[in-house]
Amino acid sequence: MKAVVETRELTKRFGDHYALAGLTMTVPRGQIVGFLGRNGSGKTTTIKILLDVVRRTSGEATVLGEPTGSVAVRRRIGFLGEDKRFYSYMTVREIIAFTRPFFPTWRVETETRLLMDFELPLNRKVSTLSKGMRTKLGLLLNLCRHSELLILDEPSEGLDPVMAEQMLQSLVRQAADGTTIFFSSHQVAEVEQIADHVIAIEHGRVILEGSLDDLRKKFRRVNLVFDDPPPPEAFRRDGVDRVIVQGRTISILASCNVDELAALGPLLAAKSVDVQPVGLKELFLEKVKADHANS
Amino acid sequence: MPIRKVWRESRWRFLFILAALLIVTSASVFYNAKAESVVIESKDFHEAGVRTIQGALFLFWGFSAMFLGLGGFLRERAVGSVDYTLSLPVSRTRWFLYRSLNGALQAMAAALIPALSVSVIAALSGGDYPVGDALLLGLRLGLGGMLFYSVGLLVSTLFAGDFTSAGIGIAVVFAVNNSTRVIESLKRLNLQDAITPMCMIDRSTFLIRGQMPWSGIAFSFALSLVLSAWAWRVTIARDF
Amino acid sequence: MVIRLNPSSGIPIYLQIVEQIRHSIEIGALVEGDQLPAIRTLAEELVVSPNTVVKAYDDLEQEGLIRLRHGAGAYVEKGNLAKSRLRRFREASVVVKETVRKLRSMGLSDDQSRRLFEAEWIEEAAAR
Repeated sequence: MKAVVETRELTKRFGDHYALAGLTMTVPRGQIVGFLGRNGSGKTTTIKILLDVVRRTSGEATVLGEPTGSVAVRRRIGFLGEDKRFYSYMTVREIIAFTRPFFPTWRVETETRLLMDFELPLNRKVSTLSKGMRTKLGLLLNLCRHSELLILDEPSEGLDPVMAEQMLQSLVRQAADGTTIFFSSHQVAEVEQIADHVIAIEHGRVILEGSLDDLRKKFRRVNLVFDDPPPPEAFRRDGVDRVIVQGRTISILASCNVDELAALGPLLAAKSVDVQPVGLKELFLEKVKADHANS
Repeated sequence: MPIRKVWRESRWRFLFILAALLIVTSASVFYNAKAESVVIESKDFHEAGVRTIQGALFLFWGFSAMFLGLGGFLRERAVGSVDYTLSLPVSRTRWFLYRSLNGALQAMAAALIPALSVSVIAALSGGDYPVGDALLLGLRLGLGGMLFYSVGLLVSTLFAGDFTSAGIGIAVVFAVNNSTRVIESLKRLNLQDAITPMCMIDRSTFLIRGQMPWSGIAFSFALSLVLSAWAWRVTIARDF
Repeated sequence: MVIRLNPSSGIPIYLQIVEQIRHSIEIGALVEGDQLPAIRTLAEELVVSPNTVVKAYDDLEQEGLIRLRHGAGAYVEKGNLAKSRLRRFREASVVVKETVRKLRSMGLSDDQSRRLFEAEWIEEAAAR
């Protein structure tokens, strides 16, 4: 099974508001996949549907090949929600003991190692732990399962930079063991850092998807400076995403035919031609603008 | 273990209710015994016992049983743990089963233990109230009154917030009980009469003489199962 | 071996790793026989996806610069200098192509550009 998560035209309606409006995506196995989107774009709703906490309005969603709602599949996955509150009355020791028996693939060596690495106080109640400690606890409760898939909703939310980096490092370590990591985030930087694959959504629909390296290799920004800029239409062709005119500069975001566009420069008497790589932030912001322009 | 978690989350509430009911029961027994202004003989505790179990205990237990039905996923959502619970490999139906059985057993115990305590109080005061009678009356109350528990169970799945649910539950119990007492055509449906009929008790000895009102109890219990099933349907269909 | 990455630059991270390791080998910071960190170790250290490190090591192995030994990490190879030279030439031609394009777009004729280059080389040689 190549995909660990698949959705097809997934929709979710709350009253007269569509949180998801036809979300179609595939999460490939064995990779770290970043689920990027602004606040309110539908990330948490999607994840809740995958876990059957929320029921979909229409469309399909499967996890590890089974429709959402399968209890057997939940034995093979891990989940860390945004809240990370768990059972506040239990101690760290108790909640670990509570969670352990549910997962046949649980490894006690990992539990011992992480308890030490994370410095989690066994006898403290969960309610007294800081958010950073609760995130570590949540990671422990999930990483010990050595599951096939680990789903995280905004895992670095509320963490200081040091803890956030430690958290990302634990995910990388888990990925090296073969776990597919699917994490949602509204921070482009952390997606760019550890993700192999990115799925970006806005208004409940996918606006950008692909391997990060492919996106980095494909997209370019071509900046042409003219004394008398030609109309933007002159540059519209296959692969051109956006043409922006700013004074004497025409800036083009393109995913192919970049050489062709660069060659247009001297042909149209451009004063200067500049081709730059494009980072995910720029790409994402452009796609969001394009999505808003279309709707 | 899921069932241990369910018990642990309900433990203190149950023990508190049990303690409160024991206090209410003993207070009622002594009040009823003294009210007769007679020297405490064997007979006094019989009447006091019956009046307590059918009166004060019925009333307070009815509301308590409703409280024991509260909780569930809506409460977990309020405290932020529902995502974690539902992400575990345990079906909603299984969670619901554990919670509803745990609560029902607690409701039963909250009826039986105070009822039995009447015998204990009687014995400690040098009197007597047959354990068998206490047991039967407690059983009658618990089984027939499981309906109150189911109201709490149902209300907790429909409304978020313990206070809201409790308020609505109390209102429902109150309304039903009062309307079946006041409205002529509904009088037959009054729960209190159906499950604690005086015809079962000997007027002079205040001991059990007749048959248990099995039809009334069965009807009421069946109704509570209907409400519980409704609560289950709501639980498995709902978004959290 | 110190690797500094810029994940937001738009340049694939694995290429940045390849470039920096290759550079280390070329300047002698890494010599034949030196051991490189295991894939998962380097991934954890840099906090990047293990797949990224795999791609980087694969590329370096393709170039003959390192050799992967299953379960025993990676080692710097005898350094197939021929391939490395080929790569350098390939990269150089890209620079030349871009420079030529830039100079042309600035309005210089090829003759003018050639004269500029020669002037630069002569100056450089004289300074040394």
